[in-house]
Amino acid sequence: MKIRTDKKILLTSGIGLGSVLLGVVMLVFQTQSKALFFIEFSLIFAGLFMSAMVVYAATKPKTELIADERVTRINEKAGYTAGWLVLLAVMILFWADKIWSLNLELEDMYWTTLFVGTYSWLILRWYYNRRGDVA
Amino acid sequence: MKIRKDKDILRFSGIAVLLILAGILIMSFLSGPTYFGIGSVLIIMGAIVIIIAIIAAATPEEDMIQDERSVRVNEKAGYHAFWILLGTTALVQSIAMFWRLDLNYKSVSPDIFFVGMLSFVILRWYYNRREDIV
Repeated sequence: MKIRTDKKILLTSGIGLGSVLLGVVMLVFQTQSKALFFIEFSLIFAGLFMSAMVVYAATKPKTELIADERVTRINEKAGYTAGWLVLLAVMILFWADKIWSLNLELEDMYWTTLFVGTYSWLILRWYYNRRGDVA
Repeated sequence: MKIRKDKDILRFSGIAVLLILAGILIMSFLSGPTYFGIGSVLIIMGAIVIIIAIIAAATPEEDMIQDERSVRVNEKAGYHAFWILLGTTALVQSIAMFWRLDLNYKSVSPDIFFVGMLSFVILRWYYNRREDIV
């Protein structure tokens, strides 16, 4: 198995390791702030995720990583529909909050958009991939 | 000018009439500023749908079919607007958390909606200007 060590791979792994290092340094010198802890945790997690992705990408030949026209089209079609679904979910929650006085917080919106957006995008990607007529 | 009266146009106008009727009923039978707001929004939506239906009925059916390029431009713009929407929400949430801002859903969601729609419109314009879109 050949491991690529080109500029892009080195740059991305550098960012990943830097992110983990920054998170660890912040964690060592942290105050008792909950928000800071969240940022440190996110930095470490993002760094580890990025490093794992780089290792995976480095083992693949460069030609295999280029998305073909059909995959690009499926991603864009799914993203377009998921975008409208997210807007619809935000609108429905807004009116539900107004009518029933649910007192929703900002965090609820964050989780709604993230949950609806990510899952609908993944499901729609799967659906369009199954359909044969996507150019 | 020939006005079409096919199934789609009739269905569309039916929805518009129902929206206006629902808005009037809500405003008449339910009291309170919230229901007044919902009723007004429904009536405005109904009026917009009627205008769209009239424009569509006056346009020949062949003119209404989107060409392949417009479909691609819409999809590309929608895809990027979707990521912008998710990014904006994450950013707003992080800012509120970091600076301990006491924001609630009702005050932020219209802005997020606005960001999503505006980025979609701007990106559509941008991709439409670009010539390399299939």
